Amino acid sequence: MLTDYIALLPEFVLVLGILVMTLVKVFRHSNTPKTFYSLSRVFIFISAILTALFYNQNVGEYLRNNSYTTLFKILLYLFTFIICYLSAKRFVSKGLPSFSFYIMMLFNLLGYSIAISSWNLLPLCLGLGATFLGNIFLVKIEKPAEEHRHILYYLLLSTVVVLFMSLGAGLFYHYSQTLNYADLEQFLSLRSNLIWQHHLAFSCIVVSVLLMMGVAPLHFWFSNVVGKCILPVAAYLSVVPIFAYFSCLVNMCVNAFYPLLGWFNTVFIIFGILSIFIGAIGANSENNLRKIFAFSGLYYIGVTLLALFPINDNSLMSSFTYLLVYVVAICGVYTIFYGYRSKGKYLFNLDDIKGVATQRPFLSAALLVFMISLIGTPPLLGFLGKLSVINSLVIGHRYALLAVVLFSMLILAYAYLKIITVVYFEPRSNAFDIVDRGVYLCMFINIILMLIAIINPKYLMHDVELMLVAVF
Amino acid sequence: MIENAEILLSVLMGVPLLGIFFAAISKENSESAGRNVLSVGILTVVSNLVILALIGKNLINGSDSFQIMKKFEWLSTPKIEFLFAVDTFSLLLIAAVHIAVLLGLFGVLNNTYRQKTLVILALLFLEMMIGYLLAGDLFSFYIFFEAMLLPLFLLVGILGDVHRQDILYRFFLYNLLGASLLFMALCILFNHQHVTIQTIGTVVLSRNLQMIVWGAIFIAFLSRIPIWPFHYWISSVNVNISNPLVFIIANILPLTGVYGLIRFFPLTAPEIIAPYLLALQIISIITMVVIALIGFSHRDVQYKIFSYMTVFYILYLLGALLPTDKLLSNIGFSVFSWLIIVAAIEVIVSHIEKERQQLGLSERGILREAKTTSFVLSFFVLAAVGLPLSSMFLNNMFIFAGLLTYNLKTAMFILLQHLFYLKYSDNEIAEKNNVINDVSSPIIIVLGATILLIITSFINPLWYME
Amino acid sequence: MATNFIFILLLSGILCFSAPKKQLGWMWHLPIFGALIYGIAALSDCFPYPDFAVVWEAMPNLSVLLNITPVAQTKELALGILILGAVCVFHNLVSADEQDKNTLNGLAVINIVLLLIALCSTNYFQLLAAVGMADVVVYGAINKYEAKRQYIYGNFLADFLLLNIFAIILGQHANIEIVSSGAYSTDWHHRDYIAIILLLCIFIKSGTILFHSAYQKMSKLNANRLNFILFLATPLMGAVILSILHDILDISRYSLPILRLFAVFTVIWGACGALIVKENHRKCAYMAMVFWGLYFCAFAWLSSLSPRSFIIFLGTAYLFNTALSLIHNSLSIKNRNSFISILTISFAAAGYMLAWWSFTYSNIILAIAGECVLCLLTSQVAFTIRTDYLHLSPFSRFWLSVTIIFGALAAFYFTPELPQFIPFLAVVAPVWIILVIFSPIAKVALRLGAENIQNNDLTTAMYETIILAPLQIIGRILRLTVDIVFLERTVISSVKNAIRFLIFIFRRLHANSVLSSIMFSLLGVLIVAVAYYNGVVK
Repeated sequence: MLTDYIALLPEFVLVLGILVMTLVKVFRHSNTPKTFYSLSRVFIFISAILTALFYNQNVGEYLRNNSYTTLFKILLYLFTFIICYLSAKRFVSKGLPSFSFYIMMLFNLLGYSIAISSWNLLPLCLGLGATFLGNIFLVKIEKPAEEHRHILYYLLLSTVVVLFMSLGAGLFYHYSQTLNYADLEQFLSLRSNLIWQHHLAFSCIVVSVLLMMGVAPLHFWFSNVVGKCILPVAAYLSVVPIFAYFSCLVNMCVNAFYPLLGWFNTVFIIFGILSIFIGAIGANSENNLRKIFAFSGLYYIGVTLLALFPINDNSLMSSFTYLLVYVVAICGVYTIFYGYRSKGKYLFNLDDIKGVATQRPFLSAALLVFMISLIGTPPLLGFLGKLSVINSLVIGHRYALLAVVLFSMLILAYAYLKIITVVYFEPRSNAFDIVDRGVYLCMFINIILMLIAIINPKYLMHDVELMLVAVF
Repeated sequence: MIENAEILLSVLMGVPLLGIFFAAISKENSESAGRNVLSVGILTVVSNLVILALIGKNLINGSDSFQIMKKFEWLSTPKIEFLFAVDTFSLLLIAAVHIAVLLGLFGVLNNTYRQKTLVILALLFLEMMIGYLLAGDLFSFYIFFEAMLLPLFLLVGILGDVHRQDILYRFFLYNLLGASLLFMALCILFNHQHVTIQTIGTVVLSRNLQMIVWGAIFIAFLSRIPIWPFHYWISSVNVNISNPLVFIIANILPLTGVYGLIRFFPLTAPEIIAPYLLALQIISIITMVVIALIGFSHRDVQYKIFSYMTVFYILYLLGALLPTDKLLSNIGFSVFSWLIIVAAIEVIVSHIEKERQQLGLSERGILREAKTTSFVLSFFVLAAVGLPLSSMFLNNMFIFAGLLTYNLKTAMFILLQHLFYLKYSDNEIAEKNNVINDVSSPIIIVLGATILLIITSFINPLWYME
Repeated sequence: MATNFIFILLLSGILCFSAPKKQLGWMWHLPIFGALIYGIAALSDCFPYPDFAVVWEAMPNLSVLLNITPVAQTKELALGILILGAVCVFHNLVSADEQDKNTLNGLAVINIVLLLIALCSTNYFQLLAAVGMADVVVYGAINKYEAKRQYIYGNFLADFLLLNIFAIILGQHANIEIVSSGAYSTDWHHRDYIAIILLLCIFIKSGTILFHSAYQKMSKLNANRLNFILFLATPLMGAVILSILHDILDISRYSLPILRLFAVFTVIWGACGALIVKENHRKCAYMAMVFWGLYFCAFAWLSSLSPRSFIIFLGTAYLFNTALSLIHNSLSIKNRNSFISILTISFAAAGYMLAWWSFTYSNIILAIAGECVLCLLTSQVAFTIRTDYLHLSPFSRFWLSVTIIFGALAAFYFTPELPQFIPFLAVVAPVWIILVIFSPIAKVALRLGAENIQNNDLTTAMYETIILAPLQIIGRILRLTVDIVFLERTVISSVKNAIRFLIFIFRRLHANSVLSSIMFSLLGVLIVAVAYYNGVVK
C-alpha cells in the first residue's frame, strides 16, 4: 500500500529536487550560482519538515524511523543547510557555477537519509556506498586537469571501499540468507560457532564505515581530499557526513552485529588511540588550515570511538555529545574561514592569516572561541563534550585511556596555539577583504547557540538522551 | 542585612560581563586615546567593590564556613549542581584582587597601545577569578580554574612583550596540563562518591586511586605556584612583562594554586601522601631560598618583585599545608594587604622604568627629586617587608608561629627571604640631571587611598563588618 | 591624665611634622612643649592619672590589650625619656644647623611616644608594633640616602629576629603576654637560639661592634639628627627591649658571656675610633658606641641598674656629644691633637673605672671644660680659641655652659663616692695637663696608620665579601645550572625533540599517498587480524 511508503516522502522530495535541478540546469540558460542554492534550500527545508513529521514511520523491513534516526537526520539537514548558505556566498562572490555542488548536497542527503534509517544491510550499503562514491563529483569541482590524479586516486579508493562493503553484505547474505538487522542479530546470537567468514563479513562492513569516517589507520585519504578541494566541499566533508556514519555504525553494531562486538571492541580502542595520536601529531605537522582541522577532527573521532565502545546508553550519550560539540565548533571554524579572504582569494595557509586579529577582531575572537571550545576549555560548549567523555571513561574505570586522551589533547592544543599566535601575535602581512554579512550572521547564531547550550544544557541533554536510547 | 543576599553574588559576577560589553562597544579615537574604555574598566571594578562591601555587611565576622550561597542546577545526568558561596576568607581575596586590578588600571592610565584589548581581557580575567573564588562545588571550581587561562594567555601574548613564542606555549600548556589533571581527579571523586569541596577529605578510595587523585590535585595546583620545577615558566614569562596591569594579573595566577590547596587539602593529610608532603615542604623551602638568591643577584627590578612574590606565595602554601585550619584567616588577612602592596609597588616601579627609559637615564639617584614617588614607594616597600603598617604584620607572625611550631629548621630558612633589597637606593652620589618626574595626580590620589587602606588593614581590615 | 598625655603628645608630634615650614615657624613647637610639660608633670605625680588600656580587635579571633600605663619600674624611665625628649626638641629648635626643625621635632616626639608605648607593653604585639613603627619614624628622620639604606636594612633584620622570637614563643605557649622568667626556664625549646637571636636584635639596634656601620654612615647627617638618633631613637629602643625582655636571657648559659664580650669590644672599638678619626660626626658616632658599650657592660656586670642612673648618664652622653659637636667645630686645627690626647687619657681612665662608669662621663666633661680653660689661658693658639669662643652664638655659649654645669651636677650627684676619687684626680690631673701640651698618644696612633682602619667600613666590607658576594654567586650558579642547564636544556628540550621527532616520522609516513595508503591499510588489517586472533581463535 502507498501508506506503507509514506515515510519515504522526504527522500522522494530530495529525488524530486535532484530532478528539478537537473532540468533547470539543462533547460534554463540564465542560471546564476544562487539559482541552485535557492532550489536546494527549498527542497532541503521541505524534506526536513517531512522527516520530522514522519519521525516514527517505517518503510517495510528496509527502513525504520524512530527518534534516534530522526535526530541524526535533522542534524544532517540543519548542517547541510548551513553549509549550503555559506557556500552560496562563495559561489556568488566568485561567479562560479554551483550546480555540481548543490545537486550533490541533495544526493548525499538522500543517500545518508536512507543509510541512517536502514534496517537492512542493502539500503545501508547503497546509501553509504553511493554517497562515498558520489563524493568524487564534489572533489572534482573546480579542479584543473593536473589534479585529476588525486581524483582518480579517490575514485579508486571509494570503489575499493564500496566493494569491501558489498563483499561483507554479500557474505552475510550467503551464510544467513538475510540482510535484515533483526534477523541477522538473531542469526548471529543463536549460532554457537561463528565461522571466520562471519567475522570477515562483519569486519569488511565495519572497517568500510570506519574508513569513510576517516578513522586511523584508514585516515590517509581524508586530509588530502579536504586540503585540496574547494572551501565549501571541505566544510561539507568535515561537518556533515560524520553524523551519518556515526549513526549507521551505532545502529548496525547495536541491532545487527552485537554478538560479534566482543572481540572488535579491541579494534575500536586501538583505532581510537591511533586516531588520537595521529590526529594530534598531524595537526602539529601542517601549515594548511584545513588540514590542521582535518587532523584535529581525527582526534575527536578517535575520542568518540573510545567513549562509544563498549556500547551502552551512557557511552552513547557521552560520545554523541562529544561529537555534536565537535561538529558545532568545526562548523564555526569553517564559517570563519569563509571570512578570511584577501583579494578575492580564500586563505588557507597559516602564513596568510598573520595578524588578522588587528583587522578582523570579531572574526578572530570567534575563531578563538571555537578553537578553545575544541580544546574543551570551560566555560565553552566543548567542555560539556569533554565532561561527558571523561565521565564515561571514569565510570568505566578506563584510566589509561583517560590519560591518553588528556595527554594527546595537550599536543593538539599546541597546534591551536600556533594558530592563535599567528592570528593575534604576529604582525599583519595581508589586507583582508570585507566579510559578507551572512558569515557574521552564521557566526553569531553559532556562538549564541553554544552559549545557550552551555549555560543550561540539562533540558537539551535530557531530550537528546531520550531520543538516543531509541536505538536500543 | 539584605534579604536574599545571594542575589549579590549574581550581581558580583554579572557586573564584569557588563563591563566587558560596554568596553567592547566603547568608541575610541586619537583624542580619547583609550580613556573611554579605561573609564569603563575602572567603573566596573569600583562597582564590584561596592557590591563586595554590601556582601561583607551580610557576613558574620569570625565565622569560617560559607555564609551566602547560591545554587544552580546545571546538568541532570550526571547530576551536577553549581554552588557559589562566600566566606570571610574568599571575600578578602576577592577584594584584594579587585583593588590590585584597580591599581593596575590606574597604572596604565597613559597607555595607548591596544587599550581596549587590555581592558576587556583584564575584566574577563577578573570575572574568572571571581567565579573561582566563589566556587563552592567541584565543577564550578574546575571550570573557572581552567577558564582564566585564556584571557591571561592573550594578555601576556599580546601585551606582555614576550618575544619568544615557546615561552608562551609553555605557559599555556603547563597550566592546561595542571587543569586537565585536576579535571580527571574531580571526575574520579565525583563518580566515586558525590563529594563537595568541604567533604573531600572524607572520601574513601583505593590506594592506587588515592595516589592518582591526590597526585593529580597537587600537581594541578602546584603547577600554578612557582615551585620547582614549575617556577621556570612563570619566571620566564614575568621578567619580560613591562605593562603593570599585565604583570599584576600574571602574578595573581599563583594565588589560584594556593587557594585551591587551601580549599582542597583536608585537615589530616591522607596517609598515602604524607611522605610526599615532607618532600614538598623541602622542595618549597629550597625553591624559596633559590628564588630569593636569584632575585638578590638579579639586576632587573621586575625579577626582584617576582622573587618577592614567589617567596610569599610559598610561605602561604606552607602555612596552608599545616595540619591546622586556624591559620586560614591569618593567611586571608595577610594576602589581602600583600596583594595590594605588591600591585602598588608594581605600578610605581613601572612608572619609574618607563620614565627612565624615555629619558634615557641611569638608575642612580633617580628618585632624588621625585619626592612623592619616593615617599610612596618607600612606604609600600616597608609595608611589603612586613613592618606594622598593614595586616601582613600580625598575620604573618601567626603564620610564622604555626610554621615554627612544627619545624624550626625549615622555618628558619624563611628568614632568608628577606635578603633582597631594592636597587634604587644606591649609595653613590647621583648625577645632577638624572631625575624623573613624579607620578601623575590621579595615581597619587589612588595610591594615597591605598596607603590609607593598608594602614586601616593593620587596625582592622574588616572594619565595615559588625 | 596619662590617656590625654599620650594622645596629646602624639597629636602635637603629627601636627609639627605635617606643619608647613614657612608659616608660623617655631610656633608649631608650642603644643609639643605643652604636651611634654604636661606629661612630665603627670609622671612626676603632680596630679593623679588613670590607667590607660584599650582592647584592640587585631583579628577576628584575637583581642590584644593595649596598655600605656607606666608602672613603678618604668615610670622613672618614662619620665626621664620625656625630659630628655624636651631637651632634644629644644636643642633642635635653637640649633642653627637644622633647617627642617618642624619635621625633625615632629618625628622625635612621635618616636618618644613609641618608646613609651614599647616601655609599657605587656604583650608581644604591642612591643613589636612599637619597635617596627619606631624604625619607620627614624627612617623618615634620616635625610641622607646612604644612611637610610643601611639603617633600614639592619633594622629590618633586627625586627624580623624579634618577630622570630615571638613567633616561637607564640607557637609554644599560644600566649602573647610577656611573662616573668619563671615560665621561660622550665619547659621551653630552642632556648639558646631564642636568647642569641634576642641579643643579636638588641646589638643591631644599639649599634654595637659588627653592627655599627649603619650609625657610622649617619655621620653625613647634621649634628641634631645624628645625636637624636644615636641616643634617643633606635639604640634607646634596643635598651628598652633589653629591659623588658631581659628575663629571656636567663634561659641560656651563653647569653651573659656573649653580652660581656660584645660590650667590652664595643667600648674598645668605639674608644679607638673616637680617638683616631678626624671627622667630627664620626667621632660622635663612636662616642655613642662607647656609651652603649658601657651600658651593656653595666648590664652584664652590675646586679642592678637604676633607671635614674641610666637616664642621667644617657642625658650626659647626649649633652656631651652635642657639646663635642659644638666645640670641635670651633677649635682650630692645631689644637686637635690636644683634644685627642685628652680623650685618650679619659678613655684610658675609663677602662680602669668600669665599675664606676658613672664617673667616666663626669670626668670627660670636666676634661673638656678643662681643655677650654687651658686653651683660653695659653698663647696665640688660645687667642684664636678665645676669639672663636667669643664669636659663638649666644645660644651656643649658653649651651656650653649648661653642659659644663650638667656635668658638674652629675659629678655632684655622686658626691658620696666623690671623696674616694680625689686621690685619683690628684694623680691623673697633672698627667692630663702634661699630655695636653705634648699630645704623644695621638702622634703614635697617627704614625701607626690606625686611622685607615677606622676610616674603612670594615664591617660592611666583611659582610659584603663573606655573606653577600657568595650568595650572589650561588644565585647566579643556581640560575645557570638548575634553570638553564637542567630544566631548559635537558627536560624541556627532550620533550620538544620528542615531539619534533614524531612530527618528522609522521611527515615521512604521509609523504607518498599511494604507499602510505597501502601501508596504513595493511596496518588496519593487521590490527583486525590480531584482535580476531586474540579474541576469537585463542
